[in-house]
Amino acid sequence: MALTQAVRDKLDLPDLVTGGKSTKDVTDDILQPTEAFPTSLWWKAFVIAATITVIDICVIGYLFYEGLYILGINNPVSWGFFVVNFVFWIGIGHAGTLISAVLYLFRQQWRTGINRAAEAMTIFAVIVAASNLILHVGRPWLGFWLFPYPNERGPLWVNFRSPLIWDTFAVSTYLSISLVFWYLGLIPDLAALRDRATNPIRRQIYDVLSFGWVGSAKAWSHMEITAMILAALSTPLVLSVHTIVSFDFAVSILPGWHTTIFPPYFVAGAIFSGFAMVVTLMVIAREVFNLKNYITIKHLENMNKIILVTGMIVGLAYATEFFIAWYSGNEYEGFAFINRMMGPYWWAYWIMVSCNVISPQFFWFKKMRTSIPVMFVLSIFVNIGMWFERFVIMMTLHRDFLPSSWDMYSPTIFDYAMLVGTFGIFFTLFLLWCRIMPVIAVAEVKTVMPAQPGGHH
Amino acid sequence: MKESTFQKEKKSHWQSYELKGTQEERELQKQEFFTSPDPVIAKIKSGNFDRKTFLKFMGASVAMASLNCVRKPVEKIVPYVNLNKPNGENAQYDFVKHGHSYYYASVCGACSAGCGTLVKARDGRPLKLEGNPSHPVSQGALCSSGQASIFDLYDPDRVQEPVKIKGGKARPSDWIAMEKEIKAALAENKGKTRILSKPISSPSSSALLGDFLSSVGGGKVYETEMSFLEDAISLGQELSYGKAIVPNYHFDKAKVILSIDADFLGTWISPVEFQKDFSKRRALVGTKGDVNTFIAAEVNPTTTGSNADARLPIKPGDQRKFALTIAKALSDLGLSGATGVGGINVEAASKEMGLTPELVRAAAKALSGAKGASLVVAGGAQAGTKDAVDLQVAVNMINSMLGNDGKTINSSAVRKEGRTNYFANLQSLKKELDAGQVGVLILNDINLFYNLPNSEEWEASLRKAALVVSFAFKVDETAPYVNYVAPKSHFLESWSDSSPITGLYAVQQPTVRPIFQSKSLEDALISWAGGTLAGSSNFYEYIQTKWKGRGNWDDVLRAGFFTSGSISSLSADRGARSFRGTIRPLEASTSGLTLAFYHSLAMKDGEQANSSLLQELPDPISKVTWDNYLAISPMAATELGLATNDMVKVTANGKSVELSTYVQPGLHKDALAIALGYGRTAAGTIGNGVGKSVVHMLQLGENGLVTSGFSAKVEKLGKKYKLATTQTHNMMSPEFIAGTKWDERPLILSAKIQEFKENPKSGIPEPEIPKILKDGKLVRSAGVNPGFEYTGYRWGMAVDLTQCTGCGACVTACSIENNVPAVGRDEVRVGREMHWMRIDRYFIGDPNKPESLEIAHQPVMCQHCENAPCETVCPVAATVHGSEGTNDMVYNRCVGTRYCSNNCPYKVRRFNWMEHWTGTEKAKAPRNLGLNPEITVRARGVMEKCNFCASRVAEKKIKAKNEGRKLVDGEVKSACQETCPSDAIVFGDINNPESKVSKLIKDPRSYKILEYLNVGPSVSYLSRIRSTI
Repeated sequence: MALTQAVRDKLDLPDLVTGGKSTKDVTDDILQPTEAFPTSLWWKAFVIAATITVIDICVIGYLFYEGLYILGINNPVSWGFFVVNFVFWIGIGHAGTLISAVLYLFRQQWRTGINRAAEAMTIFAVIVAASNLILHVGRPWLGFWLFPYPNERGPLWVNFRSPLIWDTFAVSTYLSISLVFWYLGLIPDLAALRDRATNPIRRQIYDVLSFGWVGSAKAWSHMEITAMILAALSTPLVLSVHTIVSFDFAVSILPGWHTTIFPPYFVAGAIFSGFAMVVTLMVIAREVFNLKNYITIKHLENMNKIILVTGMIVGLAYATEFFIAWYSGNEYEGFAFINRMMGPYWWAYWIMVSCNVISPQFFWFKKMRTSIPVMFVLSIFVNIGMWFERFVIMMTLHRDFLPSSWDMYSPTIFDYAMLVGTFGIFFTLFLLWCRIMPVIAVAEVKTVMPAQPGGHH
Repeated sequence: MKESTFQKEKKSHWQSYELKGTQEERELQKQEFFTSPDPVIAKIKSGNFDRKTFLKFMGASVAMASLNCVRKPVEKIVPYVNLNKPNGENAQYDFVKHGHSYYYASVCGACSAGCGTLVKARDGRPLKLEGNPSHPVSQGALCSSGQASIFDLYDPDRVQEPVKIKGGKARPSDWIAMEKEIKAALAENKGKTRILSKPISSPSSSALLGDFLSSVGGGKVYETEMSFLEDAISLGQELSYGKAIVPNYHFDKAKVILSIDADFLGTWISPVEFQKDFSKRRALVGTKGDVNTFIAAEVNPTTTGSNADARLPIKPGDQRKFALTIAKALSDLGLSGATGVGGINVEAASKEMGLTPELVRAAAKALSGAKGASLVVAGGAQAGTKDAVDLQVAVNMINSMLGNDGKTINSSAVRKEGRTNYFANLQSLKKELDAGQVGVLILNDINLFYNLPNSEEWEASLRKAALVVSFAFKVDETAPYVNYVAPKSHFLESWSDSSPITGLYAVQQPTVRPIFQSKSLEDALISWAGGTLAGSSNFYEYIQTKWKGRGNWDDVLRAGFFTSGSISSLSADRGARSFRGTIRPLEASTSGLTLAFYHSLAMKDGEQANSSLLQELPDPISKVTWDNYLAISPMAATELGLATNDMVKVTANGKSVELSTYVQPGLHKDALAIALGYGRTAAGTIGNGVGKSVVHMLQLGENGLVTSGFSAKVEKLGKKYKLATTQTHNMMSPEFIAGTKWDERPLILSAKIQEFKENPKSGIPEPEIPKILKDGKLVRSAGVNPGFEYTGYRWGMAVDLTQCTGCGACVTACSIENNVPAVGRDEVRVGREMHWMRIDRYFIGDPNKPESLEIAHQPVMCQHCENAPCETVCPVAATVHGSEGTNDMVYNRCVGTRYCSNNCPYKVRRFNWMEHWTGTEKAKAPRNLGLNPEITVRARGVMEKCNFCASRVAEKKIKAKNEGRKLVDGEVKSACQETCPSDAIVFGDINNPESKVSKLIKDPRSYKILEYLNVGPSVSYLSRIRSTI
C-alpha cells in the first residue's frame, strides 16, 4: 500500500507526518491520551457537553410526557427544528464516509491522518440525526412501525412508496456499514492498545475488542480485502444517503421542495458541511491532543480546497433553483423562491447565502486556507450556513399553495434546547470515544510514513 | 361387570382447602352467590317464625300495601317521519333499538327565530341537531349557534340543582325547600307577582303564564330581550303603517336587495330562513339562471355584507342619511311616495358619507328596476343609533315607494303582533320594583347584569322585591342579586311549542330526561300553582289541551309542525299598506372616528359564551377567534400608527375599554367597531373572561339601547395582545409580490353575471394537466398509475361559491358530527386549530378603497384526491385510498410523521398536537355524553381530517343493504351539506350519472382547486357569479 520513499521523493510528495517521528513515536503519541488521566481541558469540555446532554434528555422526557405541542411546529409548518437537525447531522456524517471510503479507493494517502476521527464523527452524527427523526413523530413509541418486520397485524406492511421508508433503510444501512468499516480499521489499533496495557482488566477488555488480533500477514491480508469491499460498499452510500434524504423534499409536491436538483445539491451540501465539521474538530483535536505532526497543515489545506469546491457547487445550486423557478413560469414555484429571499424569513436566507457562498471564497487564497484561525472561523460559518440552508428549506412550508393556510413558525425554548442538545450528545459521545480509542488510525498512518531505517512496519 | 374393590377404596381428591372445608361451607358452595347467611332470611326459609318476627313482617307488609302507587306520568315522544316522502325511505322503528339513531322533530331554542329541527338521538341521548326539511323556517338547515346548542345541554357548568343565594353567597338547595319558600311568598304577595321573561314564542307558554298569574291572584308578564332590536322594527311599522308588527321578509321573492346594516344572513331576526330564501335567488343551473343583486351598506363587514354585489361602507350614525339619500335618488328616478327628502342632494350627501355618488345612484337605479321584487331592510346593533326607529320609518317608506310591501314584506303572516315593547317593559318593571309593587319576581332566562349598562341601578330595585327567582342555565352575572337560581331545562329536555310566524305552529319535543335536577319554567309554575293548572298536572298535558284542533297529536309530533293553512299561504301576496309615516329632518352627522357595536356571528349577545365550539368559530371576515377587538380601517390605522394586535384604549360615551386592534379592510375610513357578547364573568369555565365586555359603554336611549354612532377616541397603549386568527389578514400575496406574475393564484374563480350569460365558463382558465391522448382522444390524465376502476359508489362533493355565504354553520356541524375538539386560544394563536373544514376568506381589491373591496369565501375540506399526495408519503400506510374514492385515515396505524400534512397542497390535515379528549377537562362529564359514538376520538400524536362523513355513509349503506337496494341519491348527506343554509354543498355518488353531484361536477362553472397538480380532487367548486349594479 505504501509508496516507497524513493517513489515518494521522485514524485516530490510532501511528508504526511512531520517532526521526524519514528513509528514508535507515532504509537506513543497517538495512544498516550487513552492511557493517561484526562487533562483538565478534556474535563472542562466533557462537563459542558454532558450537562447539555442531561438537560436534553430531560427535555426529551418532557416531550414524551406532554406531546409535540411544546414545540413551535404547527399546521403549515409540520416539520421544524427536528428535521432541520436530522438533515444537518446526516450531512455532517457524509464527510467521514467520503474520507474513509472514497478517498481510500482513490488512494489519497493524506486521508490517514483524519479518517478515524472523521468516521467516528459520522457514526455519532448519524446517531444524533436518527434520534431527531424518531423523536419528532407524534407517537415515537410506535416508531418501529417504520421497519418492515413480520407482525401479527395482518401482517401490515410499510408503504414502500414513502421517502420516509427509504430514509429508514438508507439511514440504518448507512449506520451499520459505517460502524463496521470504522470498527474494522480500529482492530489493529485496539490490539496495539491491548499490547501496551499494563492493567490486566484493561488488557482483557482490549483483547476482546480487538478480536484477538495477532497481526499476522494473513490477518492483515484479510483486513485489507475486507476494507476494500466495505469501502466499495460505502462509496455509493455517500451519494445515496443524502440523495434519499433529499427525496423527503424532492418527492413531495410542494413548491420549493419539488425540484430535481435536490439530490446532487444535497450531496454536495452534505460533503461541504461534513468537511467543515472535520476541519473544526481536527483543529481542536490537534491542539488538545498535540497531534500537530499527524494532522498537518497539508491535511487541513486539502480539506479546505474541498470546502471551496463544494461551496461553489452549493452556490450554483441556489442559483439554478432560482432560474428554474422563474423559467417554469409557475406562480407557486416562483413565489416560493421570491418569498425565501424577501419573505418573513429573509434573514435566514441571507445568513445561508453569506455563510455558504461568500465565506468559502476566502479559501481561494493560500494564506487563508493554511491559516488555522481563519479556517476555524470559516468552517464554523459554513456549518451555520448549512444549518440555515435546511432551515430555509423547511420554512418553504410556511407559505405554500393556498394563502389561507399560511402561517409563521416560531421555535420555542424546547426547540432550541433540542438543537443545542444535539451538539451536547454529539460532543459527549466524541469526547468519551477520544478517551478509549485512538483518534488517528495508527496502523494506517505508519503506512504513509517515510520508510524507517532498519526495515518496514 | 363386577365392581372392583379398588374403586371402593378411592380416596377423595381435593383441590383447595376452601372447597374441602366444613359441611356448612360446602353447603354454601352450592349456592350461586356466595353470601353470608342472613339470620332473618334463614328463619323465613326454615318457616320457624317467632311471634315478634311475624308481627314485624306483617306490619311492614300492611304499610306497603296501604301506600298507593303513584306512577310518574308517561310523556311519549314520537320519532320524525318525513311526510313528503314515501314511507319506506323514512319510516323509523316504533321501538328503540340500541345503537341506532332516531330523529325527533323539535324546535331549536338557541335563538328566538324558531327553526324546526330534527334531533338525532341514540340510546336516549341527543347527539346532533339538524334542520327539519319541511319546516318553513329552517327548511332543513341550521346555523352555527343552533348546531352548537347541543353542547349547551352537556355543559358541566350548568346549574345542576336549585341554588339559594344569601348574602351574595350561593348555597345548594332543592326544589322542595325552594317551592315551600316561593309558595309562601306568592301567598303573601297576592297580585304582586311579576314574570320577566325572554320573548315567549310559545303560545302555550304564554297561556300558561297567564293561568299561573291568575291562580296566584294576578300579576304581569313582561317580555324583554336585551338587545331590543325588534323594538325599533315594530315601532317603525306602527309609525309608518299604523299597526305595530314585526313583519316577515321574503328574500326569495326579491331580485334586488338593499340592506342597511341588517345582518340578515348572520344575526338578524331569522338568519337561517333568510339565508335559505336568499340563496334560492343565487342557484344557477347549468348555463341558465340569474342571480339577485344585493347591495349592502354597512359599518363592520359581516357575512351579509361579504355577499353583496356592491358593498357601500358607511360610518356609524349615517344609516338614516344613507336610507334617505337612496329615497331621494329613487324619487329623482321618478318614483312617487317620498316625503321629507326634498332637502337632500344625492351627490353632496353621498360625498359627505364618503361614498361615490354614482354608486349610490346605481344602487337606487337597480332598486327601481325591480319594483315589487326588491327588498330594503335595516336594523341590528350596528344600526342601533339614536334614530333607529326613524331609520325603520325611512326604510318602510322606500319599500312602499318600490311597491314591496305585501310582496317581499309580509304584514299578515308576521313574526310578532303588536309592539314588542322590550325596552319599555324593562322600564315599567323597574318603576314597579322601585315603587315596591312587586312581590315575587320570576326571571326567565334573563341576565340583567350582563346585558344592561345601568345594571347597578337594578341592584337596589331588585332588593325591593320580596323574592326574586331566576330561571337560568348558569349561576350567571345576575345570580348574586336574586334569592334563588332555579335550574332551567334545556330545550332538548323540555316540552314546549312555538309559533314563529302567524299560522305556523311547532312542537318542541324533548329527547332526553333532564340530565340534572332542572325543570322547565312551565312545569315549575304548575307545581307552584298547586300541582295542577287548567286541569293539567304538567306542561306536556297542558300543551296537548292547547293543541286540540290542530290535528292528531302523534302526527304533529311526527311532522314537527302544523300550519293553519297551506305552507305557501305563509308567504302569499297580501297587498300593500299605505305609508303614512313622517320623516324627521336629518341631524348633522358626527365627524371624526365613530364607533358602532355589533353582534358577532358566533357570540351574538354572549348567551352561548361557554361554548368552545362557538368561541373557536372564526369570525367570517376577520377570522379572529376567542376575543373581541377594535376593528379599525387600514386608513385610520395608518393615521394613528396602529397595527393589528396593538392594545388600545377606546373611549366613547364617557366610558372606555382596553382591547386589541384588528385592522379590518372594508371599514369606512372613520368607522370603528367592537363586538358585543364578550367579557362574560359568569358564563362558565370556558366563557369567563374571554374578550372584553363593552356593555357599560352603551347608552340608554328613548326607545332602547343606543349601540351605534358614538364619537370615539382611540389611544395607543404601547402594549401588544396577539389575537388568535385562523387566517393571516394579509391579502392574497405580500406587498413585495403584489401585481407581479407570481401573484396570480386561480383559487377562487369569479365572473360577473353578464360574462356568465355570454360564456358560462367565464373566469375559469383551462388547467394545464398533462394528458394522455389516443387517436386524438383523451384517455386519461397523465400519471404512472393506470387508475382505479370504481364499480360501486364513488363519493364526491360540489361546492357552489355563488351560493356559499361563508356563515360557518358547516364548520360547527362538522365539529359536532366528528368529535372535532376546540383547541383554545393559545393553540389557535400558533396555528393548531383542528377544524376539519374551514372557510377561506379572500379580499379582492384595494384595502385603502373600501368601496372597491370584494370579499370571497371558499369552504375547504379534504379534497379526497384521486392521486392523493398524502397517501404516497405516509411511511406506515396510515392514510390509504378507499374503494369508494375516499382518502381514509387509519388513526390507530398513524405514528404521526406529519409528512402527509406537509405534502397536502390544501393543508386540510389536522394533527393532534396534544391530548384533546381522553382524560382531559374537555371530556369531563357530562360533556362526554355529547360525543358522537360513531366516530372515535383521536389520541395525541395522530393525524386526522375530513372523512367525507364516513360514519354517515356507513350507516346508510348498512340500511340500504339490509333492504336489498342501492343508496338513493341524496340519502346520504354530509354534516356540512345537511346544515348548510345556502345549499352550497352537495355530496353524493359521482359514479351515478343521475346524481345531483355528478351533474354539478359536469356543470360549466365547475373547476377544481390546483387542478394542474393532477392530484385529482373529488371536490369540485362552482365558480362565484356575482351581479353588478
